[in-house]
Amino acid sequence: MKKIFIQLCVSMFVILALIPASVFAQGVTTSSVSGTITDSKSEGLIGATVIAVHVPSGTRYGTASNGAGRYTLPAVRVGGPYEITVVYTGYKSESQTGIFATLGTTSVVNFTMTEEGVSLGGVDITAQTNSLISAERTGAGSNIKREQFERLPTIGRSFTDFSALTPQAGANFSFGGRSNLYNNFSIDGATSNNVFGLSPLPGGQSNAQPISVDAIEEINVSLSPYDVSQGSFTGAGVNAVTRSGTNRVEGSAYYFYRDQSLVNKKVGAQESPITSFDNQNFGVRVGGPIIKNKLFYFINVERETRNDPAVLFPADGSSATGSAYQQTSSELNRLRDFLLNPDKGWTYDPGSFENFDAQTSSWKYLARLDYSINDQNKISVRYNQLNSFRDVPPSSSGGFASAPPGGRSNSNNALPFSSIWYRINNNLSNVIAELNTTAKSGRFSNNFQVGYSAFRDFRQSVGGADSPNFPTVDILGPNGQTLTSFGAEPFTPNNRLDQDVIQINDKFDFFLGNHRLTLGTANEFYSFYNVFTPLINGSYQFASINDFINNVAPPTGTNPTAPTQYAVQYSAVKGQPAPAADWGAAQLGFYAQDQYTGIKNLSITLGLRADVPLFNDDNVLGNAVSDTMQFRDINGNAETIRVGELPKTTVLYSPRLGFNWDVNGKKTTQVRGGTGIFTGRIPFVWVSNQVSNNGVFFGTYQPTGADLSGIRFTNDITRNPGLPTSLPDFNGQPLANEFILNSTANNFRFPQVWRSSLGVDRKLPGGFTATLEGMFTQDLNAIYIRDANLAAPVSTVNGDGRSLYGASSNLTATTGNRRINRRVIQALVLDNISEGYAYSFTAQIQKTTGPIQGMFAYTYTDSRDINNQSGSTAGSLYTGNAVVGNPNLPNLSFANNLIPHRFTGFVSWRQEWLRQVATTLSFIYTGNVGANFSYVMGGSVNSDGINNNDLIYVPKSQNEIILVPTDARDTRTPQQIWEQYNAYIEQDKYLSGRRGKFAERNGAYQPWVHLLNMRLLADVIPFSVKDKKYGIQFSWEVQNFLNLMNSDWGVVKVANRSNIINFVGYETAHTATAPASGRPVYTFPTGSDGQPLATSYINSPGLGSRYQMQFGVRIFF
Amino acid sequence: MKNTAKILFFALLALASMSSCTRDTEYPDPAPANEASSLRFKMLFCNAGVASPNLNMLLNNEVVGSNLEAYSYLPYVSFPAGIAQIRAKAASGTIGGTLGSNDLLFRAGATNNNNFTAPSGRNYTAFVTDTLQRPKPTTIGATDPGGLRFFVVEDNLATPAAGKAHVRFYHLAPGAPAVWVGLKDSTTAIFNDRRYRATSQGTAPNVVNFNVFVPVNAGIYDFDVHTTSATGPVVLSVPNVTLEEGKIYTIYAKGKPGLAEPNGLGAAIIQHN
Repeated sequence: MKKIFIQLCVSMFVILALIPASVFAQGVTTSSVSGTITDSKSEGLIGATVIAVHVPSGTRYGTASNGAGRYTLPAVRVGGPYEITVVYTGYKSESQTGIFATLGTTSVVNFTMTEEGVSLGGVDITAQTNSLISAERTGAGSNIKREQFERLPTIGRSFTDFSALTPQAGANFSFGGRSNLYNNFSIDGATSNNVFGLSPLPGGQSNAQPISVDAIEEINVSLSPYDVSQGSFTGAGVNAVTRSGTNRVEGSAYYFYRDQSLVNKKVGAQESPITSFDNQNFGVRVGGPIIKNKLFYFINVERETRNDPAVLFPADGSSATGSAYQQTSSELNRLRDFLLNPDKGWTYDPGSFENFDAQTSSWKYLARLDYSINDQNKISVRYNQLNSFRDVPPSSSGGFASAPPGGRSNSNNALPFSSIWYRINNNLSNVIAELNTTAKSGRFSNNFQVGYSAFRDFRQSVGGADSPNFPTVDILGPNGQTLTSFGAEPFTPNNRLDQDVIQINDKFDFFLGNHRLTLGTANEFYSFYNVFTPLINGSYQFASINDFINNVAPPTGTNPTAPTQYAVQYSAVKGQPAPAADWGAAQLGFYAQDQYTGIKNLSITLGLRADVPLFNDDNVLGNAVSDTMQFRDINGNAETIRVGELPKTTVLYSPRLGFNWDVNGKKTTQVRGGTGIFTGRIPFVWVSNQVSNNGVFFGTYQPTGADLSGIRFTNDITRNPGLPTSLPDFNGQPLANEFILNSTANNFRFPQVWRSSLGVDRKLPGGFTATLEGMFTQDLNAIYIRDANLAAPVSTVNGDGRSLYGASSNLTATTGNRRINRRVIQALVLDNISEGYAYSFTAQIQKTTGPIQGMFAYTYTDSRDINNQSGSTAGSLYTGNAVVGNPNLPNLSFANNLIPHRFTGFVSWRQEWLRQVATTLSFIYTGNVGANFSYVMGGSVNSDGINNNDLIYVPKSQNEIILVPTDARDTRTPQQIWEQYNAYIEQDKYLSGRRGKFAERNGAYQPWVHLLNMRLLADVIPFSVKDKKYGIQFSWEVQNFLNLMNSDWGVVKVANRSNIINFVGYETAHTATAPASGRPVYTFPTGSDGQPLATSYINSPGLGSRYQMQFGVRIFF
Repeated sequence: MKNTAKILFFALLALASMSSCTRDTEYPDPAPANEASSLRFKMLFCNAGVASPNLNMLLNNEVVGSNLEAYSYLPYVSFPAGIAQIRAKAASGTIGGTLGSNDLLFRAGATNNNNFTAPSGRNYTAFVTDTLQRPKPTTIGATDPGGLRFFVVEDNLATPAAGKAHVRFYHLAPGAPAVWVGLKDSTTAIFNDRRYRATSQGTAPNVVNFNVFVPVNAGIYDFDVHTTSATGPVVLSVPNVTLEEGKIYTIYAKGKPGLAEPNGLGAAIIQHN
C-alpha cells in the first residue's frame, strides 16, 4: 500500500509525505491532547509525568512521555479549559492553562523544561489556541461548538441547521452533492441514523429531532477522514457529543413558541394567508456532580408539540369564487347515522367529519453519567430516548388496485371521516457505554464502546387508538370524485418496523517513539422486523352513499347494489396472518493504522480497513416459481433471480493515506490532505424490499364483471369476500396470478468511493484563518437498480430516436409484452455500477475567538451519478429517475442534491452592557443556486410503463414536434401552440441552450436563493451567587430575515411546470402486434390560470418564501 | 513566506484545473424529423342535428368545412393523424338552444374532456346529432353541456365486390323508438333493433357493430322503417333509394316525430365515395 495515487486534476500535486489522519474512535466522541516535552537543549525527556485537568469537572487525565519525549492523551473530554502540568525529577514543574479541546481534533501543547535551580527568562508557550491549524486535521469537514448552538438561529431547533454550516453541505442533510442516505450520524459514538433508511434521521416520519440541541456539546462533520477507524459512510460522518456534568450544578429551562401569526401573510406582492398552526418546544437540562471530581451526571428532557387543523375544506363550504364543495353535512350525517344504526346488525363509528387538531408531538429524554475512575480510566454511559408521533391524512394511493378518483385527502370534493386518518409513531431508545484507558507509562491506550439501539416505528389510528378492524370504504360523490372515506387506512393495519442495532467497537493504540500504531475493530449487528400489509382489511369503492346503503341493507324486494371496485390482499403464508420481513445483517470491521511523526512538522497516517457485510437469510422465504424463470441482465444475457437468498459476503478493503504538514513549523500555515477508499452502507430497506416483495407472501383478489356485481359488504374482515377458506402449507408457490419481485445482484457490494482531498489553512492577522480545499470522489461501487423482467425494446420512436418498448404489460399478451415472464409485473434487481463522481472546491475564512466570531465560505461542486439513490424503497429508486430511453441504464447526469455554487456564513456578536445585561446578535446566511430539476413529459413516450420520467427532446423548429390542443376546451391551433412553446423555450435559459438535444436529468436549476436567518438574544442576570449566575434570556429569531425587511426579498422561485409538455399518443396506434411507426403527439397546456405558460419560474407560496418568527425565554441556574 | 507563496500557487493551479474538468453529459444524439409529417386520417362531417343552424367544422381549431346545413354532409377532409379536437361553430351568430353561445365539442374520456384519437390511415364519419334543446344533465359538476352532440364512427372504405354496393344504417332521430329497417313488404329486416345513437348490439362473442357495411346487390330499393319488430308498424317509407355498384352508403334516420318538415321524422343518405 505504498503506491502513490494520482488522480485527474489533483495530479498537479505530488503527495510528498505521509499525513497523519486524526486518529479517533469509530464515531468520534472525544478530543485529544498531545505534544513533546523537551529540555532547554531541545532533547526529548523520557518518562515525564503529564497531568491534564478539565477544570470545570476536576477530571484528571494522566500519562507519561515516551522515548521521543512525546506524550499523548488520546481521549479527553471535549471542552475546557484545561490545565496541563508536567513534572520531571530534577526539573521545575511546568503548567499551561486556558487550553480548550475540540471534538475530533488534537490540541498540541509542548513544554520546555528547565532544570531546578536554573532560571531562564521567558518560557516558550506554544499552546495550541487555534484548533483549525492542528496536526490532526487532514480531511475536509467542520466543527460546530456549543456556543454556536446557543447563539445561532435554529427555528426548528435542529442540529441539521448547524451541520449545514459545513461549506460542502447541501439541502436535506446532504454533503458534497451526494445522496443524503449515505451519511453516518452518531451520538456519542452510537450509530443514530435510521439504518433502515425510510428517512435519513430517526424521527423523520414524525418531523421530530432525535436529540435536542440543548443536549449537544459539539458536532464534528467529516467528509474525508483518512483515519481508518471512521467508516460506514460515503457522504459524510456527522458525530455529535452530548454534554457532561461538571463540579457545579447548572442547567437551564426553556420555552419556544411560534404560530401562523408570526408568518408573513404575503408572498411577494400577493396576499396568501397560511393555515393556522401552533408549535411549542420546551424543556430543561441540568448537569452536576454526584461525587466531585469523579462522577458527574447530565439530564435533558424536551417536549415539542405542534397542532395543525385537519380540515381545511369543511362540509357545506365553498371556494373563493363561490363554487360549492362536494361535501355536505346532510349527506355525511346520513351516512354516519346509517353506520351507527344497530338495525342492520352491526354498528361502526367512523369518527367525525368536523375539524380536529392533527397533532405532532415528541418527547426526548437524555441521561448521561461520566465516571473518572482514576487518572488512567474513564467511563461514560449515555441513554437517549425519543417518543414521537404525527397525525397524517389517509394516503390517496390505491396500492395494487385503482386509486380513489381525486384522492382521499380533504379537498373541495372530499372530506374523509376522522377514523381513516392515521398516526405514525417513531420511538427510539439508545444506550452506549465507553471506556477509555491510558497506560500510566504512556505506551498504550484503549477505547472500548458497546451500545444498543432499538427503533420502534408503528402506526395507529388518529388519537392513538388502534387501527380499526374494519375495511377501507371509499364513496364517490355526484361529481364523480371521491366524496368521503372511512374505516382503516389501507396501508396502516399491521404496519410496523422494529430495528435493533448492537455495536461493539474496540481500538487499541501503541505509542512507540514516533509511531502510533492502532489496531481496532468496529462491529454492528442489525436485526429487522418489518410488516407491511396493504389492503389486508379489504377495500371497497361505491359510486354513491345510496349505493353503499343499498349494498349493506337493500330495501325489501330489491337486489343489493354492487360496489364499483373491491380488492383484498391476504397472507399466503399459513400460520402468519401478517407475514413479516424478518431478517438480520451485520457489518464487521477490522483496521490497522500507523501514524508517523518522525519527520519534523509532518504527520503521516497510513491505514487499511476491511469491512465484512454479512446477511442472515434463515427466515427469508423463496419463490419456487420465479427461481426457475429466466430474466435478462443489463447486457441482455440470461439471469436467474433467487429472492430467498440475500447477497453473498464480499470483504471490502479501504486503504487510506493522509498527511498534515505544518509548512514553516509555526502553526501558521498547514497543508493537509490524503487519498483513500471509503466504504458505506445502503439503507437496509432496499434489501428488506427483497424479503417482502417475493411474490409468495400474499395472494390478491380483485373481482370484475359478474363477480364484482355479487360482492356484499361485510364489516367482519375475517369474512371478506375472496379470502381462501384454508391455506396450503407453505411451499414456495405464489398464490397471486401476478406479482412483483425485488432482489439484489449475486455479487452485490456495499457502496465504495475513492476520495482524495487537499487543503491549505493559513492563519491571518486579527485572529482570522483562511482555508482553501479541494475534494474529489470517484464511485467504485455505486448503487443502481434495474428491472430484469423488462423485455428488449420493440422499435425506436419515429421522429425522436429513443427506444420504444412493447405496448402491453399483462398476463396474456404473447407479443409486444414488456414482461419477459408474464406472471412477474416487475423484477427489480439492486446492482452496482462503477460510474459516478463528485468534486468540490471551497474557499473559506473564519474567526473563532473574540466578541465577534464568524465564518464565510464559497463552495463550487459538481456531482454526477447514474441513479439518484434517494428513494425510500427499491421501487421508487427505479421509477424516480428521469431517463431518455432505457430505464435500466440511465445516462450519467447531475445528482439530485447537487448545488453548483454555494455561499455560506455566519456571524455572531456578543456584547456585555453593564455587568448584568448582554446581547447577542447572530446571522446565518446561505446563498446558493436553487434546486435542480428535470424537464420531462407527462405520460410515457417510450411506453416503458413508467409515467413522468421521460426527458424531453428540445425542438429546433416546428417540423420537429407535433402539437395538438390539450383537450376539448382548448381554443388554440397547433400553430399558436407551437408559437407559445417556442417562446417558452426561448426565454428559458436551460432549454434555449439545449435545442436539438435531449434535456438532461437534473440539468435545469431554479433561481438563486438567499436565506438570512437572524437571532437576537438578550441576557439579563439579575443576581449571581458565588460567581454562579442566575439569569433570564429572551430570544427572538427570524427565519428568512430578508423577507421581513421586504416582502419581495427572500422569495423562493420554483419551476413553473417541469412536466412541460404531455405525451398523448402516436400518429399510428401502438399495439401489441404492431409497434407505433408514427411520430409522438404532444400537448403544451396553458398555465393553471388559462394563460399561456410564459415564464419558467413562479413564486413558491410555501413557508420557504416567508419570514417566520419564534420567541423564546430561557432561565439559567 | 516563500513556502506560503508556493502553497498558494499550487492551490490556485488546482482550482483552475478542477474547474476546467467540467464535462458535458453524454446523452445520445436525438434523431428528429426534419419535415412536417405526412401521415393523415380522413373525416366526413354530416350535420344530423334537428333544426340545426349552418355549422362550420373545425379540426384542431382550423376550419375544415363551412356552412354545413342540417341533414347534409361534406366530402372527406384529410387531416394530420394523431389526436384531433373536433369542434363545430355556428356559421353565423350562435348555435343557440342549450349550448347558447358555446361551441359544440367532441368529448370523450372519464372527465369528458378528451379529444378524438385518430390514427393514421383511418376514415371516420362525424355526425352532429340531437336537438338544440336537449337539456343539460342536472348532477352537480356534470360535464355534458346538453344540446347538440357529436357522434363519430369509423368507416371501412374497402371497395365493394363486383356488382355490390355497401350500406349501413344509423338511428339518429331523437325521440323515436328502436327501429327495424328492411325492404318494402319483407318479413325480415336488414338492420335489426337499431336504437337511437347505438353503435353496436350484443355482448362478446356475438357482437354486431353498426359501422360495418353490409354488401347488397347494386340497384334501386324501397325501404320500410318498422318499430317494435321487423314486421311491426311502418313509421317511415323511404322509396327509390339508388345503390350503385362499387359505392358505399350510410342511411340514417333523422328529425324528430311531430316537427314540421324538414325536421320531422325522415331519412337521409350519405355517399362515402
